[in-house]
Amino acid sequence: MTTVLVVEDNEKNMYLISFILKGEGFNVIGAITGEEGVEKAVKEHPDLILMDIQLPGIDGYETTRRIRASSSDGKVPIIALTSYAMTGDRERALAAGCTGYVEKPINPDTIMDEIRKYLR
Amino acid sequence: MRYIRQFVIFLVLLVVCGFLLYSTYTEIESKTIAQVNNEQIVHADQAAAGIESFFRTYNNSLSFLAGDTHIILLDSDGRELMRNFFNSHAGEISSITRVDENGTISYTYPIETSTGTDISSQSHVRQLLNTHSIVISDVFTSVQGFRSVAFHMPVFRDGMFKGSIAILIPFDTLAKENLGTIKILDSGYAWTISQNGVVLYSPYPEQIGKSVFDVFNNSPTVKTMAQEAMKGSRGVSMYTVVGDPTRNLSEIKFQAIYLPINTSTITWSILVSTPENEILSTIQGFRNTLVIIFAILIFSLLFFTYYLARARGIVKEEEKRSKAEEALRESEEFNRSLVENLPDIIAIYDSKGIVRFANRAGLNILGSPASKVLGEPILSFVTDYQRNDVERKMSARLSGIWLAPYEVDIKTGGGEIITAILRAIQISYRKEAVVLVLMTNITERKQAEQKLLEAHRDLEMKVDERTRELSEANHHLQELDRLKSMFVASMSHELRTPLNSIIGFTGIMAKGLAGEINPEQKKQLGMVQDSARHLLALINDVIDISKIEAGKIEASVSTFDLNDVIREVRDTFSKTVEEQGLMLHVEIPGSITVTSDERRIKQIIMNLVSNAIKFTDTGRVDLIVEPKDTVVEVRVRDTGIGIRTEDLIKLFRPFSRIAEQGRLTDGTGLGLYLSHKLARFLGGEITAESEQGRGSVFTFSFPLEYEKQEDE
Repeated sequence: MTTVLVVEDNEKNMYLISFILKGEGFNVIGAITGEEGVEKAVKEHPDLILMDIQLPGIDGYETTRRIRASSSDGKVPIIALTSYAMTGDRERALAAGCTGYVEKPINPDTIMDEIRKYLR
Repeated sequence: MRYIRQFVIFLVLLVVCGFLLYSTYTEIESKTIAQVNNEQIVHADQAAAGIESFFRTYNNSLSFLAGDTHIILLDSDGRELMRNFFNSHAGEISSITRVDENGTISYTYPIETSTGTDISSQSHVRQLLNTHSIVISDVFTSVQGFRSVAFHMPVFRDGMFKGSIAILIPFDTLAKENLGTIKILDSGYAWTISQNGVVLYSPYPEQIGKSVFDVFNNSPTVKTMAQEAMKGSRGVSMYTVVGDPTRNLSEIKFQAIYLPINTSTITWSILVSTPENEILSTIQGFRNTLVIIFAILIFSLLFFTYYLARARGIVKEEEKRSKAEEALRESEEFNRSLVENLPDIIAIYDSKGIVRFANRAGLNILGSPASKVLGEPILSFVTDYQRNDVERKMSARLSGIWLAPYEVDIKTGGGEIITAILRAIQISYRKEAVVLVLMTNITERKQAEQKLLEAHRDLEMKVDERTRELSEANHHLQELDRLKSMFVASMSHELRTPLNSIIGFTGIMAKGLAGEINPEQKKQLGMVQDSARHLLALINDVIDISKIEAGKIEASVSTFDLNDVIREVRDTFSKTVEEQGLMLHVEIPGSITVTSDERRIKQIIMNLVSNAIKFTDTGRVDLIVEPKDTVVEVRVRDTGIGIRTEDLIKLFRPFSRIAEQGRLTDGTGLGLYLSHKLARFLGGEITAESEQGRGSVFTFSFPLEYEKQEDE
């Protein structure tokens, strides 16, 4: 079963994403802070990580960098959830080690296609 | 030039005197000539009377002989009578001759051998034979060999012409007796011509017997006189002889008189001629005297005019000098008045620094009393604290060094201290090298300057203060601006997060992922989602604008093909265009490589095309791309409702949606405003051309290579 780690601080968004992913038959692990995200990524070995950039505490970039820095599994696809108009979000995300990005708001029609693109 | 008048006077006087002297001379001359002529006439009259009496005597004698029978018949008694007659008149006549009626000499004495000679060819004989009256011939050479005048008295016997009894008069002798004695002056002489113009007598023998017209053929004046004389008239004349061979003179003037010798049968003329120069030579002394007088006159006149001119010159010089003196006096008065009335101090000090002159202002300001200025050292008027400095400058000035005007504080007579500008000039005064100083009181000006300076300082302080205040305010504003940007940024995030949830959940529900929904529910969920998306777009625009305004935007530069962007735009709108029944036409010349912010450029073009479609009901929208050197132009042309000219200027302002009755206004009202800002941010520009009802053209031009803008 494919496991997806969602790092998202907003409860409703977390629910939304989990709902969609679970509806598609994925195993979803949630983390609501960057630190938790790093911890779970190292411990649970997810197949894919959805990373919100705007996080309290350490942000998505830093979280991504830390995950990439951890020796356990540095090659997991990390998809950044970016907001429109936040200039440089995408570039910074890619620079931090993200594999790709998906723009918010999440479109249930297209989100799954995007995710499957990055699954091994 | 100024002596012209004198010269003219001189000339006039000269001419008048000359004329007077000349007329005197000519009068004397003509009187002299008249006197000579009178003398000549007297002589000539006497001579004429002598000759006339001679002829009268012989006329009587011959008349007597002609009536004598012996003579008529010419018998021996007759011959005897003729011989006796000749012998008794031998001094006066050279022969006595009896000529017969055929012109042949019947008898002649004393040269009897000539008897029988036919002399009828002689003109006077012919005249005798023709006229049978008394004939007196011109001078001719007789058969006897004498140059004589023949006097023929006709002889008649019983009324028959029987020739003549004639005598030959050696006219020389006769004339010499009567005329030869006439001697006027040196060479004045008498001569005689016959009525035929033959010279009967002349002191020049070669002329005798010749026609006067031949002798004087070069002198028309002689001819005129001769013709006049031959008429038997008397008169005075003047003639000119040309080429008188006897005198070796080319031309000589004669004063002459002529008068007739009247006998019963002939009219001869006596002429007395005197060379004019001889006559005039008699008055030469007088003429010389006149010339001397004239010369003396000229010299006197010269002296007179010279002294007159000099006198006038002196008078004029005097006038000029007095005028110059007047001008000088006026000039001096003017200068004095200038110096004295000048409010500035003018003073002169000598090499010892002693004041030698001061004008009224100088005396009044410096002196206490005014008389205590002259003779004082000029340094005594300088304030103590400046004395050394001024003294140094003074000695420099005296040694000829030029000094710029300098300020000096002066003690006035009244005890005040005034500030003056001092100018010093080295001049000569009464043949002494001195220094002229001009001092202008600038105390008031200095005070004014001081006040001005203080005012200026005050002003500067106030300006500094205001600047500081403004700077603080500016700083405050910048802080506010930063806070606003931060606020907007965080607010937008806060606003966006719930919107994302709304959009996401409505999407899930609309898709039926959360359970079955009926069509109405689905439609309404769609409306919720649309509204949420609109709100999100609005928030995104606001974020962009606030970022641009805060200068926080950064270009995400990459190199891409504009063709791809255009294609994407076309694909995005193709469905909408089709639904509205419009046509979207794209024109692009192959691939165009651009290095810029692809997403922003797409955003701008999208906005323009979206607007074009929004405001076009029928017709078409053209999207034309045209590279020009370093920029590329993207033109969006529509056949829509167009824009009024007055609205064109409002086009790029926020929320300036053009009110259009009955038209859906579903835009954010920030689209063009943002596009415009973004275009500028990318170093480009958006311009619009439109006419109401005729569609619009929006042109977005931007550089092919993005360069970071400093000011946006």
